[in-house]
Amino acid sequence: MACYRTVLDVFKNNPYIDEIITLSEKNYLSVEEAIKDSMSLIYNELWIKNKFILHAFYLQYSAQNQLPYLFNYLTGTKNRIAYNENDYFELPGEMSIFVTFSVPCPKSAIHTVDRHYYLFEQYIQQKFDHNIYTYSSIDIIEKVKQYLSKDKINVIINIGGSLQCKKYPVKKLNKILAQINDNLLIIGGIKELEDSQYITYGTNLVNKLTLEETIALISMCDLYIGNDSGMVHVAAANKLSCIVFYCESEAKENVFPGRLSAYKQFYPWKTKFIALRPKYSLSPCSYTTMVYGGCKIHNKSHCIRQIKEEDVLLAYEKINLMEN
Amino acid sequence: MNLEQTKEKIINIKYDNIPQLYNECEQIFNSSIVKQQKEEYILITQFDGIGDAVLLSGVIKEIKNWYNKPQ
Repeated sequence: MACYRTVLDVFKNNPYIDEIITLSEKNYLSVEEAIKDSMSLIYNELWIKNKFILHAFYLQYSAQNQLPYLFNYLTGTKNRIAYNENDYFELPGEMSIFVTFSVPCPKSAIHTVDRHYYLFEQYIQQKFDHNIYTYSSIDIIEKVKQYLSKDKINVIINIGGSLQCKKYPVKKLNKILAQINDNLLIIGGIKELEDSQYITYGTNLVNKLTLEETIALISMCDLYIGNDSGMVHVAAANKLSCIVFYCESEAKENVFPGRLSAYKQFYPWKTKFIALRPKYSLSPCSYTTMVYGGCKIHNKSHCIRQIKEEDVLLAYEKINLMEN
Repeated sequence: MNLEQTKEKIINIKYDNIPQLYNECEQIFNSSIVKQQKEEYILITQFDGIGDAVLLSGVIKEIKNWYNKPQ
């Protein structure tokens, strides 16, 4: 497995991965810089250890990330499997020169899990049930057990998110939490430290857990309430019921869903969930060109702030009554 | 060309566009011992965020099972 160091904890306990090689996450300013870092890793971790690749997979359907195409090619691998990156808009994808097996991504395969599987299924001509999982070590599970309640429902409250526009306002969230008498476990990263001061209920674990610990903790909880981030997929993989805040309005989800709808590509997979979304986007997101995820005011809670506190509490009451 | 020479050559390629980069790399690989090695590993590449990594977990299992089956 080749990945960024920042996601190593997701893969490190996976029993189906024998070895992980990592790059530091950065925005490469030039292809030359990407080649230099990639070659250094390939040479030191593969070639001089006499590890040569027979099949190299890049299964994500993405127009923007060129690094995996290049990286897989530079390993010297004969069979390089990836999507031809621009099938959706039928534009020529220049990175496809580095690929030896590619199929168009059908418009019916929109969710990221389906897309990952589809390419592999086409490569080996076999179908699978599409699932996701997380894995934790016993040590880490023992370590985070201290935060769980035996009497109350254990609820993960995630205030984190990759962009500010994906974060539900914390002051509104705090009013909601005041009315939930469960074991509330507040999570987030270093970027959420300031926001976490406005949460006065539950156990504040913001920036106190490693990613590995967070994954283990989520896997033992009952319910997820929070923003649309990587943590919702950890929750879904462990079959938690999920109440998720989205900045993308319902009115936007069908505008090139396979390209521009974050909701359609990343809703919680195969678990019970309620998506809380604004019905319409706010100005200027409502009338200007659609962007990925619907809301283009990235530096603050914008369209997402329309989600009403009472709708969150209603979802909280409803979710336990829903069938799987 | 040995492995180290191959690495150095690739790092120092001069090119103006992606097809040219590809052609230069192909020439280097064709004269390198890389192409003469026994290829037996599978690589899955995922340079992205936590969510994408979790969503890849199921297919990783199937790839491993597929590779472990007698071919």
